[in-house]
Amino acid sequence: MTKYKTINPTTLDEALETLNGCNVMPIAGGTDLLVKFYEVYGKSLPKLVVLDGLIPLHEIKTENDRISLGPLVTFSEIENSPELRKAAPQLVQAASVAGSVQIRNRATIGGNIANGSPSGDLIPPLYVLNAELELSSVNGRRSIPIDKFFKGPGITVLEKNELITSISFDKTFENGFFLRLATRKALAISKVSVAANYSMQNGTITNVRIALGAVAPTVIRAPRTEEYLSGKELNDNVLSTAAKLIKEEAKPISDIRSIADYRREMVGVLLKRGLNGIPQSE
Amino acid sequence: MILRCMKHDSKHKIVGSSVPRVDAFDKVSGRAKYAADYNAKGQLYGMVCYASHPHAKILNIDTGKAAKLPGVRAVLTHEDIPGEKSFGSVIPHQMALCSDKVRYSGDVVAIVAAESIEVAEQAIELIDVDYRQLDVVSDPKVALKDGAILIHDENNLCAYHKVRRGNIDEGFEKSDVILERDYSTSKIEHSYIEPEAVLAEPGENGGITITGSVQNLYSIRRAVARVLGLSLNRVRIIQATLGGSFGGKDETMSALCCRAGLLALATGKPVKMVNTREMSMRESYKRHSYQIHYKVGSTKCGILQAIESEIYADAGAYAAMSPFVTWRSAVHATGPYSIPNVKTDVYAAYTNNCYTGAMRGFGSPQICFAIESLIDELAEELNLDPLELRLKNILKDNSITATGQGLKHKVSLKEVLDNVTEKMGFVDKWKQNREQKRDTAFKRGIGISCSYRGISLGAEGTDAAGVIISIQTDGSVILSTGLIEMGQGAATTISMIVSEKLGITPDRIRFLSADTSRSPDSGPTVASRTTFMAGNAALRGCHELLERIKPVAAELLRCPEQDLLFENNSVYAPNKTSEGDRKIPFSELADKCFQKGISLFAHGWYKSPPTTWNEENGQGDAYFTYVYGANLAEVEVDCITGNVRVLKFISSHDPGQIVNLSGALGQVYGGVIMGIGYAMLENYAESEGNPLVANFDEYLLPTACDIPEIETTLIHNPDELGPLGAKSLGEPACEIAAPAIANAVFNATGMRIRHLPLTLERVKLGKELVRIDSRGSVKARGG
Repeated sequence: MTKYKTINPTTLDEALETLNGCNVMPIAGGTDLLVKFYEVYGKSLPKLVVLDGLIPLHEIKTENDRISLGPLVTFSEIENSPELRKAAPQLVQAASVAGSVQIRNRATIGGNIANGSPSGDLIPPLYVLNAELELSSVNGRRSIPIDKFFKGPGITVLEKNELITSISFDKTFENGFFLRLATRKALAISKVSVAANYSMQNGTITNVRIALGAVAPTVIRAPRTEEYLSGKELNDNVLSTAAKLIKEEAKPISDIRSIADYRREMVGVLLKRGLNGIPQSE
Repeated sequence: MILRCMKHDSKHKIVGSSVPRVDAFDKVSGRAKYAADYNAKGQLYGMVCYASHPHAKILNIDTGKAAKLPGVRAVLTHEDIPGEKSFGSVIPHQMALCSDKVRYSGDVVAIVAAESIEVAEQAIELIDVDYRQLDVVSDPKVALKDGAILIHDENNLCAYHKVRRGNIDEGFEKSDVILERDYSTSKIEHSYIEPEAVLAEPGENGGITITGSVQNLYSIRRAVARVLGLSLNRVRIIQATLGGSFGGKDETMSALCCRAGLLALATGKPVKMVNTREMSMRESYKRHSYQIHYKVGSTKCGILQAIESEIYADAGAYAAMSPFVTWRSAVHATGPYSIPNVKTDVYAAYTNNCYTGAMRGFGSPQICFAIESLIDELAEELNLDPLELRLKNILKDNSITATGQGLKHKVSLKEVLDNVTEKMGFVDKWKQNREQKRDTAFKRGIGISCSYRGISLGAEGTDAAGVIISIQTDGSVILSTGLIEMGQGAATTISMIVSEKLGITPDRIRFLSADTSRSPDSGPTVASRTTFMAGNAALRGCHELLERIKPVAAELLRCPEQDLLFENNSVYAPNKTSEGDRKIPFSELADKCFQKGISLFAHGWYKSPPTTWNEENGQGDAYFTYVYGANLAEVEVDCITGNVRVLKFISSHDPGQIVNLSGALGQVYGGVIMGIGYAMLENYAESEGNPLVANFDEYLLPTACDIPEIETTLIHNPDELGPLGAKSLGEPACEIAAPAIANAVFNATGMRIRHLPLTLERVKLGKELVRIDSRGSVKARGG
């Protein structure tokens, strides 16, 4: 970090005050940001506001049935949290397959959200957990549901002077999964991912929420598939119809990581596998 | 990782055992000095201005604005080159700085030396080059058609090799089954961990000293001398500790050394140039992509009658090593099989793609993938299992190869094939796998592959090497040679051979980095020739030294010379002297010799045994000896997603005599892993001459998580020509990984994949990954 100019606040107020100035940028784990800086190497860079010293933002807090994560909670901390394993299995599964051990030790949930990539692995689980984001600035705080946060690839509603200060959701004691496909086992960006949260009651599926990663300009929900599945018994026919529906809901493109046809097909495959309890093949 | 069986030859004390790499501690402790670690007082920083188009006429280069930028010390174009503007070992047409036209996107039109990297980069952006764009040639087959746009002055044929044996038409007439198939392989990057770097320092004598990440010092020196207009003795190339090369740091480094040298001479200052990974990916040569057509004929019972092949290699913009790479392909095109009728045609064509050259395997991984896939396809057609068909046709003792060479050594192909198949119960398992249920998503498969490989340069050219052995008065030894340590373990291997011969422990030997002004021109460190060539040269040097010091030792021990035993840093004559087992330390002997004025310095020189080649019919003793290897891969295919997991590899090789056991195993593991990357992941994709991948974020290599268990069996089969029987191992380990995997995928799924790499999309949809939108993340610096 030495070659960058940094400011190291120790309280949230101090951080927000600093972020209200010009030509500054907050940095958490830096696993996305430093790569972006490398692109513009030699050009003028903003001053980095290092968030690491904001101790409360590293915490995982539980209040009654609600969990709130500080934005600086790392992927590794999510992966290893016994609480989250019970209360948000899809989030834990996503945290454990992203990047590599080294990246997971640095990368944060807040950074993964703020970076706004449609392939950010923690985002589909947060969609199906109905997560709320708390955004803070010197002007105050506001709350926004995660599915209202993203506007396009890398584009979010976060203002320049705002920080994500908490990510919260109700504990789920239901079923959930996150499955993805990538070119290799580690250090690979998802070609396609599917997260879900649902309950099983008397053999039928209810409260089903499904989100898809890397198949549209932002992470998206699959409302038609959710509606179709609701109240159904999970048999082969139902799963096949659901897979067909969800393929129609995906809007993938072809790029260096995958091909649109493949992505569309795999959205259905991953949904079926997730609902059938087939674990990640990696 | 498992080593299954290893017959250690007790004849040797050191050779054949596991010795820790002599350079290991320096490398893991940070003491090793890589090229980018070198700095000189007052140094400037060099930067290149790349071509803006893959194919264009240069109309004008305006360096005025760049030269005026404060901090800029020199801006040079082709007009400032004192010597020739181009270089090249085979065809000297590769441009140090382009003059009339640019031929690929990694071509360089101007260079800058400045007081900082930042200023140098700014200056590059101020250079105005007017181009007239030319049509781009990107397919080697199209390049060879009449009327194709020319890359160089003459036609686009870079190299052509043929092999003719027997009568191909009669061969097919005698065949009951004829199969024709097309295969293709991707262009791949060496991916050495250290991008290219040099420090060029002008010398007191008007010459230049360049310290850099160089693989082939002498060809680089010839390039620098030619371009700078200096005699060879005024150009000194010193090899820094290399962070990997795999064949990659030859012409790329010639270009970089020439450019840094030009800037250093122009400014009178040391000039440092370090490539970023993006620059390295853009500019450095790659492994050739091949388009391969095979026609094979066999009798009903599986006796091969004829193989006809037509092979096109993409040479890219410059010849580099393409003529030699494709020659090796021609020699090995029919695989390790006895085939009476052969017709092979191999073409390398110029295109506006990134140029291609030497890379571990050197024209064989492409061929091995195709021929070993073809043999499996033929077995399927004949209703034989893949092992059975191979065993019916493989080369044996005294077999004649496709080039008409009789194999006079012990041919160990059957043994290596047995080694990889027996324990696994290959045939039963292979048949079981074929009967897996249609509707299971996850299917297992196993596949085999084998190869023979001519070692060293063969009929490519002169093949000789020298090693200097200098015994010090304390009995320690300094070794130096023109062949280099580049991570493959040569320093340890050569030290062990000397250690064995002089009876001193490896820790008493120091292997120096190569230096063109102080070590003998030993040709390139390529073609798995270092152990063989430098090993033999070292033996000769040792022999010469022993002839001189033995009389002194005999006198000291009062015994006949033939009773002397050199062992464990001492010399004695067991049970032969009046003084019993009195041992004289080697240090004492060395000092005594020095006192007596006896030379403790020797230069061992070894020239390879003869090879022959007839260009007209492609017949001859192409290489003086061969090595043999076989692989078995086991995979699990997720038939729904196309995901292939490599579960296990069994690899067996005949390296003659193992020198360093741990080094040999390292070569096998590294080779298999590199081959897995080739098979599963890697593709340096280009579109209309423009590279589509710029860095390792999108050019994916295997990580530790992708590596299966690798079981290795090494055969002890000393070769009468090799130093203490040793042959080679580095390349064979790499060349047969991909076909074993493709054959295993077929065994699992019944689906034959004839194009690399086997990505999920290829396995599932048969489609290739290509970047379509513009790159979002990283732009090449200086580009």
